[in-house]
Amino acid sequence: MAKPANSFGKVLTRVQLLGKVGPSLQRRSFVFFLFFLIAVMSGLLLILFSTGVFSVERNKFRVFLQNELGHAAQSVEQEYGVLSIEGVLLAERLSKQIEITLDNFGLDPADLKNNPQYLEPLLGQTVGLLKAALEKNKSSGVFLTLNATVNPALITAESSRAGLFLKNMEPNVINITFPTIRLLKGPISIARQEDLDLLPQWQMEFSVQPGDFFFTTINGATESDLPLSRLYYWDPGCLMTDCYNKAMLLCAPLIASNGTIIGVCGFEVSAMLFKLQYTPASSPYIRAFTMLAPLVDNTLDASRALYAGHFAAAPSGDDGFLSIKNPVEGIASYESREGILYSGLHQDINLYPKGSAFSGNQWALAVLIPNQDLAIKFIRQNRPIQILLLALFIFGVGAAALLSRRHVAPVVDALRKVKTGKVTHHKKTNIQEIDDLMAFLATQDESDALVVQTEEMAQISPLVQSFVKNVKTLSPAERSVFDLYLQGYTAKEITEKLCISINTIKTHNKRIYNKLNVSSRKELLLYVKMIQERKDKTADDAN
Amino acid sequence: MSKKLIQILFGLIMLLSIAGCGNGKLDPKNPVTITMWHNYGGQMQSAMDELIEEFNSSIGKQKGIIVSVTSVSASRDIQEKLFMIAAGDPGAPAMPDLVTAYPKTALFLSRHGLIVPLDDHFTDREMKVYLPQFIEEGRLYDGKLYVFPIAKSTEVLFLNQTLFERFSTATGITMDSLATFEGIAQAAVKYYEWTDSLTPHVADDGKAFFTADSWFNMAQVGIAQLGGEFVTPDHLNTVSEDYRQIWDATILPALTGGYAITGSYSSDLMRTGEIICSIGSTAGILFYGDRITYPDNTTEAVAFSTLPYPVFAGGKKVAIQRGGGLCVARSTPEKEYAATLFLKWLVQPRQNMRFVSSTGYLPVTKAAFEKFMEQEIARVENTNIKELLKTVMQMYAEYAFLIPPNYDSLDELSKAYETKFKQAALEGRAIVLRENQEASIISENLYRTFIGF
Repeated sequence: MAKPANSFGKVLTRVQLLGKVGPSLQRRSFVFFLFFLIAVMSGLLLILFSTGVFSVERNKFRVFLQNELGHAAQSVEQEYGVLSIEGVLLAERLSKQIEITLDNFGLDPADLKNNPQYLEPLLGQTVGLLKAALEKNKSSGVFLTLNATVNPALITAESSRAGLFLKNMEPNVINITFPTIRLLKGPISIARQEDLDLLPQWQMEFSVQPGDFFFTTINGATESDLPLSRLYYWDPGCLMTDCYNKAMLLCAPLIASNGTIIGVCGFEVSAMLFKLQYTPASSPYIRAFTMLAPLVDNTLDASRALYAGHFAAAPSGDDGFLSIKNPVEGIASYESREGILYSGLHQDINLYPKGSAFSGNQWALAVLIPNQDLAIKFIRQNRPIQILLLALFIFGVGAAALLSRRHVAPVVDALRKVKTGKVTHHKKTNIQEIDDLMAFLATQDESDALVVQTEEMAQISPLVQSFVKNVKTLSPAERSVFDLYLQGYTAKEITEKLCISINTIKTHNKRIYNKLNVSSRKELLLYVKMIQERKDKTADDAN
Repeated sequence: MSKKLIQILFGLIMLLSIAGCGNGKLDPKNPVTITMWHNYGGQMQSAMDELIEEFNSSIGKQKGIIVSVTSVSASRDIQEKLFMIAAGDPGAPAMPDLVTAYPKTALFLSRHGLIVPLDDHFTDREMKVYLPQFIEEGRLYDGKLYVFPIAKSTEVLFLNQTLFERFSTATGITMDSLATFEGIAQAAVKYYEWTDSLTPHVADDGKAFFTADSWFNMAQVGIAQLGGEFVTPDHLNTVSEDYRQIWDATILPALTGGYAITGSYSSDLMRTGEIICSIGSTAGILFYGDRITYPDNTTEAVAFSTLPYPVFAGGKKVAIQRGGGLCVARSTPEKEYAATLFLKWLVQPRQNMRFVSSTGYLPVTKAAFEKFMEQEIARVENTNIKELLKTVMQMYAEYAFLIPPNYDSLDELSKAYETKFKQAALEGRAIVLRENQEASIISENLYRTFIGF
């Protein structure tokens, strides 16, 4: 059979040997310590897990989410509730004013579409109300869209609606007593009259299309006979045609006293305003963001959501949807279509009163953070504990190796001495069993020697023979004392050597005397001397 | 060496300088939030927002800085609020850590101890990276840099090419007329007459040809072109021969209806087809789309072009250097350092060119201007911005640039001039229409009254 390669061969040989002869005492001892260490480590881990040490950061994150979401949800419901009420009031006031103005023109509300020449003066009459509403409320814009166009002959007339859109350029931070108002949509003559600058995205009229804020609100009002307070509609965050930023629109229908729907009015909450209001507070989770989104079939419609956060951590792309997974330990998981995962919490937001025409539209406010960030944070938090446990384990293995070696060393040494016949050279180990065994073996050796000598000395003295014979009847403890007497130690020295009291020595002496038929230590030493002399003589003869 | 490689090397040097000059007090685990007000609205806001988010996600995250925009408003509104803060008015908002401001506003803020000089945050080597004239404009009374340039602008002539060609075909007036203010004045008079003649049944319904966003800037630059000085610490020099030339070239077409005198921005008039050319800031380019809207809501597809700033007859090619910069508020050393770090990052050529190519501003580093501008012009898709950048490059090759003085009285003097000039022009126009007098006679009378303001 070919020889195995060097290192592998050695290992194989050792294993084969191990299988034949069994593991050494040191290895057994090491394995024992290792099992002990593993048991201790397991217990420690169990304690750490059960006391939640590893989930401290997770708990902190959950508390952060609960606090942020709680505050933001309360604020959103309150702010949006106020805007909803103010929107309804604005719609009532505008409807009334438009009706009066039309009446002055000798027109019925239904005639407005066919008399576009009155649109500009009519809109001019509403600027005051719109500006007052904008100044009063925390909103980035106010608008009025009439169900008529200034030029019905145009091809685009179907999708064009006359109106006004006033934007507050600094709705949140700067003093709202003197808001900076710009015209986003409306006749330029009104901008001149009111000294309003145009925004770069200015257009004379609104571009509308089926399914947008205008038609949804109009249809809601047309299809039901609910009161105005049940007819307002929150249009999700989307880009109004030719507008540069995302916004949510509160839309309330303008209904004349005869039931004619004149148009739509309301407030805008721009993405910028939402961001300024609802960006999560400074925290270790710096990429956390707040999101107000339509909730459809357990999915957050991220494409029509407003976001608030310092970073672009929110789902990218306008077609993003976040499916909601079941919460684990109080934290929910959200997955985008691209497979990006977020952790956080969400809460349903009630934007409509009971019985509203749009109460089927659900909204949710969520506070989220990309899972990637969270994983890094959790790993970082547990890293010191993990390093500590690993260090403890490595130390434990080292200690087990060292202890097993030191623990077995005296036994191995003793065995080696036994094997080499050097029992008498054994040094005290302070391990009682080994010391006793070695003493016993040493005595055995000496006794055997005595027996040989005794046989030689048989003819010399029957008394000595009897003495030697009786030595074998001594107990191990008595033998230890006797041996020390043989080596010339005094009783006092023996007490120190064997760490026993003088009374114990006396007791041993008494028994030794009895068993050896001597009456005193002097007589005992005489016998010993005789034996020693004989032993020396034998040795000389041998030489 | 390829431009991309140069760009990368430049970026690396800048990044190393950013990393190397830290005061070590920023903590990524506890980031500082830098609040910012700026006047880059609309499309410019999107560009700025993208840059800020990129900063927050990269250097900001690494260093522990979050830049948070808390207001986007027109520069004059920001200025008003800053004055409220400086005056300690009740209800005034908190001072932001970073704010866009013109040197004259910065002068006011620095005297109230609200902003800090930035010289200590830049090494000499770093400072040499920027165009010296842009840096100089930001130095105030004590010679220290308070207004850090992130993007500058100048004034150009915007033209509705479609309507002008229609006018040119009918009257024979060519683009050459638009090289001088005198030529523009003649074209304006002609345009008014031509548009008036299109509706023979309606008297005096001709259209204005031209307007300027700042008549004060026009006079200031005009006198500089003619070699004089318009602004002194306590008055405007309106009695010189140079000024008289400017007066004549400006007021006469205004009296005859060729110039529009309104409170509106010139871009508002251009977008409604009420005028066909105007002088305004390069940053106004974003207001020009590809259509104009008439009062009956009909729209017309048009092409806008950008021409170099016109020159008064006999004058040199001089244009104004405009655009403020960002000022750093006096706060904690950490915040001041963090704000400066953001500024340095923002004007690195890569970031600076991205902002420039979507806003119509000019970059501020020599490398960006000299090496990457042409590349950017080729890359930009917006034809209006593409044309603008070409014109600006031409102007920077051929023109000298006037940096307005930082006199305390400048704001007041410019406002007074603007008001008086418009008042004179409107009054004169009313007299022309009412009394059918010769415009030159009315101009003479108005000048005598006007120069005494």
